[in-house]
Amino acid sequence: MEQSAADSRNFIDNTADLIVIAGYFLLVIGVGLWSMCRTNRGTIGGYFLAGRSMIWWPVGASLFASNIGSGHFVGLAGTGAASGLAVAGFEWNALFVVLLLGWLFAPVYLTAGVITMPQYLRKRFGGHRIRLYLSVLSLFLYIFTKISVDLFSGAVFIQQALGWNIYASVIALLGITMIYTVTGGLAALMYTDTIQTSVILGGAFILMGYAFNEVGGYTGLFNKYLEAKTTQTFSEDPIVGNISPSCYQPRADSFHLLRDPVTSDLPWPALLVGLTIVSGWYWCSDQVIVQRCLAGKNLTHIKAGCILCGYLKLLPMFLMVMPGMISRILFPDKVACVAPEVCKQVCGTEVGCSNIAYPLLVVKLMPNGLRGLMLAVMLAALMSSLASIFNSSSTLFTMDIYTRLRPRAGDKELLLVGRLWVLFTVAVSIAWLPVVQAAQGGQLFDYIQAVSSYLAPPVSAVFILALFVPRVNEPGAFWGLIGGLLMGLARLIPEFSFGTGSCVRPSSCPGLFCGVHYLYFAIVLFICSCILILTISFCTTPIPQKHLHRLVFSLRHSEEEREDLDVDEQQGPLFPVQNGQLEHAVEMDEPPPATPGLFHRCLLWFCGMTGSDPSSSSPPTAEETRAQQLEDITEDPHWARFVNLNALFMMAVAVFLWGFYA
Amino acid sequence: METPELVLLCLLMAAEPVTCQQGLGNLEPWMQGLIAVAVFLALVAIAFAVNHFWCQEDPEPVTTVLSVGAKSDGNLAGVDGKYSTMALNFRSSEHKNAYENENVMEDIPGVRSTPM
Repeated sequence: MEQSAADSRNFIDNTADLIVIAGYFLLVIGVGLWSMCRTNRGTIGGYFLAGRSMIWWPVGASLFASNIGSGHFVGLAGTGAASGLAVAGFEWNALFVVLLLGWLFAPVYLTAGVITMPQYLRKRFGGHRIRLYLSVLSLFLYIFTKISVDLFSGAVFIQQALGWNIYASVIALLGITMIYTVTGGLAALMYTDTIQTSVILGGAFILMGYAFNEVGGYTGLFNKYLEAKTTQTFSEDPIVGNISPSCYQPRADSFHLLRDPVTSDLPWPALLVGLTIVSGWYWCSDQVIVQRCLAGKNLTHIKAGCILCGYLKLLPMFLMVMPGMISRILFPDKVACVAPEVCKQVCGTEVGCSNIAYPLLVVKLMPNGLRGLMLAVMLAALMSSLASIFNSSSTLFTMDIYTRLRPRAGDKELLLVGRLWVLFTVAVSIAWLPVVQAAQGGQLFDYIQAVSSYLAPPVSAVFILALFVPRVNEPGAFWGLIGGLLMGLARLIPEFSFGTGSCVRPSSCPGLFCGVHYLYFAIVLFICSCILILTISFCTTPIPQKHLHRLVFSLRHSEEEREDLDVDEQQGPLFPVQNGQLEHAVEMDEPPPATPGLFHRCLLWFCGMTGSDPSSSSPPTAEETRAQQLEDITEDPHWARFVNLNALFMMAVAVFLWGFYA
Repeated sequence: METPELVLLCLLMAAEPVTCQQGLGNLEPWMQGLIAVAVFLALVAIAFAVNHFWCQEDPEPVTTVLSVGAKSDGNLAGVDGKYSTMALNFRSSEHKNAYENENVMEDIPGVRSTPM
């Protein structure tokens, strides 16, 4: 590690690179400030939902940018280098699921009039325990899968490309991200995401061009990949000794998306069915993605944004997976290292160095100036997905946990708490960094997918059944979630305590626990959760239909009055003074506070809390009444048909590509 | 002087391009893609047809009146009258043996009646 850091220490110190990076930061900060001035961020809806005024291209670009993190650049390219094209199936599966979000899930979330996903479950089922459980689980998953993986891969890149101090650079990155997350709210985030998307795509296209040029074009890749293997196949470790060829030769099925259902590393039924379940959680019921959809202007814009995101999701195969494979062809001794001590020397971990595939390409192939651009790309990916997660976790914490702790908190307090929570998350992420670094980062993408496969299927089962089966009730959903969690933990804990192992040193985990592919396990877990939920629901009393209007898919067009199950909570802030405390309320009438100091006023402006006091119950403004109307999901039939046809076309393109690389 | 290059060029032209990316079975990759798209579009067409013919919401039931045994056909005692399919809707939601008291004959021109 020291050696590789030493010979790449001085890569970015020329003027051209520095100018590009500085220009990139100015652009991002400029757009952030511009959208801060433009948008209303002093209200809950303005800060958390961007005033529900986004048109289709910021929605689509933002969906893409918050999904694609630096973890994708490092993880997709690395897994591509290690085992071929199949990992792109993860991306190409998601583009069908994102359409499900636009067509089936988003209409119901809109008519339910919710901001967070736990809030939806609260309205749908009543009771507090599901909401609390889901908020805590989501926050846990954010920290342990998304944030840590993105930070780790950003750190890998920075280490390989720059040799900078990781802590200093990560703290600087998080600082910049935090500025526009804390101050701007969702609108600033979505506009900067649009810039980040174009930077990501532009830089990745340039790198792809250089990589294909180096390897001799598309056919060059396919001709040379199967011969790309390292020459150092003998380990000095006597236990390992001569390494069997199956560990260092590229897989024979490298060029296939659909692989053998029993023996391969990514069986096709698992890829088609199991992955759809996990993606169903990620894309259709997770706060980070759904929040971006809910910010859309109307349903047609949301659907169009989903289609745009789907088209963009076609690209990672060519922008990340294939360059990763090229990297293996060009630098087989480094990327495809197999002897543990060689790997340790190349990249610091013993299980393999496929994670450095993409950073290595950047460092070795790109000329001055463009290296700076690629650094900007990685930073863009890292910052946009981190910012999304920060914003969504603060939304979750504020709306679902804090309002439960202090039911009478005003809007101003909630907004302040949301921003403080971001600070807290940043601190936890930095504290978590050494753990992530120390952990064996074998194939990063597999790690995220494995953890999600063990924890997410019960959640997606609950959401799918909540939407499509009105009969499901609160006890069924809750015990389904708990039972699913226990099953998932029964697999997760043994696997992580035994370690994942590698081809050279297999894990000692017994086949009973770890033998089943994690995506097959996701299918089993999903089915068991569904059975549990349905059984318990049918044994207990159903929820009367008067509580379900516009909360389930079949009743989404219903015009009936809905008796909300969370009615007690909605009335909480409206009547902060209960009877018995009225006398005190008169005494507590304060004189208007003195004008705050200059510094204080600057701080308030920065946080967008100036102007009319948002906590005062002002008559509904034009924007608020428009937000009310947005709960209806009627569409212009002409544009609805246009969007539907577009979705069909996109799916046809995707199906063609699936067939092509099958 | 140019001959070796020409020979090389001819050899290269004659050689089969190496295609490592083979499809499943003997199909070319693009052929697989086209077949997949065709299958997908066929499935969409079937789904669309099913939705169009079976799953559309039923229109409001129209009162169809069948004349059973008109006067001109001769005197068929007991079968003279009109049968309205709307009678099917008389069933009340309150009880399985309860019926609503509706006046159907109002809508039918030329028939005068009083409710019950």
